[in-house]
Amino acid sequence: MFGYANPQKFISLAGRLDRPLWALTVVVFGCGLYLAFTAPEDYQQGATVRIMFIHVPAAWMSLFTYSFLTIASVVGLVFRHPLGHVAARAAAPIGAGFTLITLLTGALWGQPMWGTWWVWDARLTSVLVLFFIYLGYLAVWSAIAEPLQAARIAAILALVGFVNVPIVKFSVDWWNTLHQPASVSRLDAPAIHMDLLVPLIVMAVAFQLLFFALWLTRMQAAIFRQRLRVRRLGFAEAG
Amino acid sequence: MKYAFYIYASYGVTALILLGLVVFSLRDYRQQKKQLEREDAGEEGEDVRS
Repeated sequence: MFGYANPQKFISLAGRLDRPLWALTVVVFGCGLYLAFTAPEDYQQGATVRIMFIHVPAAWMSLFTYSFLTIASVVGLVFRHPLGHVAARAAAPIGAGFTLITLLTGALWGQPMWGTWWVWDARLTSVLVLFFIYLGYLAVWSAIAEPLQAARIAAILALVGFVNVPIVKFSVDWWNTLHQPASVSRLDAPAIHMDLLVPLIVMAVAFQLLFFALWLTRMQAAIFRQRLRVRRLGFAEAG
Repeated sequence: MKYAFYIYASYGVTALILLGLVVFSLRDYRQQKKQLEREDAGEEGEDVRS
């Protein structure tokens, strides 16, 4: 496994995996969207339950991506692995995208269901904070010219920001929120019918595959960019 | 379908954001790869000439 941490080996593996992964992502998304639009309506929410099939997977992925980013940052910061910070930086815009989808689809779901686009309850506020942390992480990389320094500061920000992840997850349990509690990721059985659970799981798999396809593509681009930079620095010094 | 606007807007917004991510990532990947291949080809040309 650690053999693929070598950039050259990683590129070789990624080059073989990316096309099949993109193809699989498209197929699973197609199946998921078909299931989402043919699923029965909820007895309370009616057709708006279809928003759940994108809102919930996006929310799950926003937390997954941040956790992934944090672990990659630890690998880069503590173990000083060359690909750690690259992996974290590659994941960040994807996570920010998922979080933005969560916020926007949440508002579009909230308006017909709750009669409001937004409330400052614990779940919504903590997800908004998560979005700002993603933006802050990306801003650190953009603002600091020296890559090593940017990587260290971004990694520290990622580690500190990780405290928000359990807050997002458990906010519906710890506080009295308008947002409903967990229906799927619970210790006992999911509180959701199979007719709605299956499309939800398929869409969650689609989002997960999309993350890996995007991340692999971004990793390859980042490694190429790094090689070009090293080469140009070498020419500049030789000149 | 009741609330059709909210449902289609949600899927539309999601598609926009995800497509944006996909297009941006793939474009960046192709640009970097092309540049690297161009520099590799340039170097090989220099080796042959020297």
